[in-house]
Amino acid sequence: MRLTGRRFILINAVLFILLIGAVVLSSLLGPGEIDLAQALYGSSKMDIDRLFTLSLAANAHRQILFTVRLPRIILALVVGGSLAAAGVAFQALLRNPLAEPYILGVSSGAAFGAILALSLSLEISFLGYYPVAAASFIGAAGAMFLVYFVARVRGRLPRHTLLLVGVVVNAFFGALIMFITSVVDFTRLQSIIFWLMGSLQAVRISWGVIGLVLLFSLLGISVLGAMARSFNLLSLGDEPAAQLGIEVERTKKIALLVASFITAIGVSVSGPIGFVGLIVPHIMRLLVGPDHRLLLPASVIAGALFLLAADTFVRTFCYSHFGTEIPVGVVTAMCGGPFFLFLLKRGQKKAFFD
Amino acid sequence: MNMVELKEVSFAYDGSLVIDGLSLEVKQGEFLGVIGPNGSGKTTLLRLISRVIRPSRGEVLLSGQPIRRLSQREVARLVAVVPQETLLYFPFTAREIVLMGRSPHLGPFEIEGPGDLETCEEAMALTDTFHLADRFLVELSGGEKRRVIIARALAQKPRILLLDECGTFLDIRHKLEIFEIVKRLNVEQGLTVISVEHDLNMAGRYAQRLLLIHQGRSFALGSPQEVLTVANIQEVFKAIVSVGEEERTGAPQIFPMGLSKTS
Repeated sequence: MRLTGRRFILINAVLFILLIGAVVLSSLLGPGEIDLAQALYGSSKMDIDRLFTLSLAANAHRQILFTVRLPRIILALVVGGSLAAAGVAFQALLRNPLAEPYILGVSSGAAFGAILALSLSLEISFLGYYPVAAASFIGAAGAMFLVYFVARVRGRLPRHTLLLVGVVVNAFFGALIMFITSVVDFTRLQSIIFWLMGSLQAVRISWGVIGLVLLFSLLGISVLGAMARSFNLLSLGDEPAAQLGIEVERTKKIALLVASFITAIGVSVSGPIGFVGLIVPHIMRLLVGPDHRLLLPASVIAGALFLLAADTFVRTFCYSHFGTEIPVGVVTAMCGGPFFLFLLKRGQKKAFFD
Repeated sequence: MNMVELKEVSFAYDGSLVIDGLSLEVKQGEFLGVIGPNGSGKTTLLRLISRVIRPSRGEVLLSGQPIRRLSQREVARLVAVVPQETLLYFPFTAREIVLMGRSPHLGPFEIEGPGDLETCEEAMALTDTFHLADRFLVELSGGEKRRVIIARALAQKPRILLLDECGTFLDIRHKLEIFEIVKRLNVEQGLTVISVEHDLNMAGRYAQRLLLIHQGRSFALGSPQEVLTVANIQEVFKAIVSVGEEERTGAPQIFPMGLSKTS
């Protein structure tokens, strides 16, 4: 179906409304019951003149909402949206249906950094960020630049070389991670394994840092959004894309760096949450079509929605049934896969072709 | 005025010379056929003209301007290419593919407008692909796919059309249709056409001038009658043919006879 302005607005509006609904619902759910009116306005009695005056006085409801739930909700949205956007970009860039944000080594680089920090109990401060997250981001950035410079051949980024180098870098960091986990002492092992599963739970970062994460992620997502038409043309092949006016090598480089960057941010905040970056783009492609000008924004919203739903599920249902929160990466893996299979069976023609 | 010009252009790929000191002038409104054996550099020539690769030596000029001073977009507004093969991994419909031909004329956030849709519909009508508009490209036959890609090239509204063996996979009717469309655009709208062809008879029938490339060099350049000679074909293709003349059009027609004894 051809993309029209009307279809673009309609689909994104629907998704956005669902997202707002999910945010409101999620902020109400949790171990402590809160009253939204109390949290925002300081009183459960609502009348019209109160609607626009937010009370500044502290109360228990506000405390829960703003220091416990809202940061986590925002991060779930940011990480989910970033991973989905990066997934779309990598699938377009590599023209490979199995491409996802972690394919080029970013997550294993991040994991190495984080695990190193966890095992050494490092004390580094990186712009006020926390040691593990900072080390993880450095590891991710390191892996990204490694892949970029090794895969670059005569100023170009050939697709197959990129994939191969990514696999090698993943293997390399994977080996280092295995080494550390084999020599580290038992007490640290648990936190390492927990980090590796991907979770938004241990996140207790300040609002300032949340702001930074939000800012840079949105910036990165916007850059990818601006490249949507280029992604459409890239799917025809490097040469036809160039013949239709795209600066192919420049586009590939920017896409690689920006997508890796937002993935790195996401992974350093929450550990490697899997499947969001692989499945959300596929599902959205089946639902709204392959035109990236619609696919990208729709996937970002859907990814945010998906991770928020998964994380809310983890901290409400799982918490009350298992007594402990299971990492959200477990949930995304368990429900993402089967749902995707279901959609694939239904819309067999509209998936990827070989 | 020269629409396309090559000045002593050489291109080497990984050390081996593919194009060797080639000079060429193609006037506006000309229909040039490019023929030569496999590996002689024909596709490389088209790549040089569409700025996909840069010459190692020499200069390429489009409409008088050096190609290295033009952006990829500017070149795409002048030159449209119909490549040899099309691979596609995403489920785009034929209409969406043809619409992509409008990209060089649109801003990064612009969605195709009614004028663009009209251009595409015209292009699809010309190539008899309108009835395929809502089908997925990957489902179409080789010939249908080729015609959709040609429609995409026409939708670009180029001044120069480059065809890379566009007759492959097409039955005689569709082959003729494509050449007739291209010839008509060439004659009526002054579209400059450079067509790489394996089918020597089609090349001889439709092109005004032929360039015979041999080992990256210009072996012969002239009218079809001048270029398609028994001697030329024997030397370059190592094939023995007999050349006749078609009664009404005077176009040289090649009759394959056998292999040349020399290696």
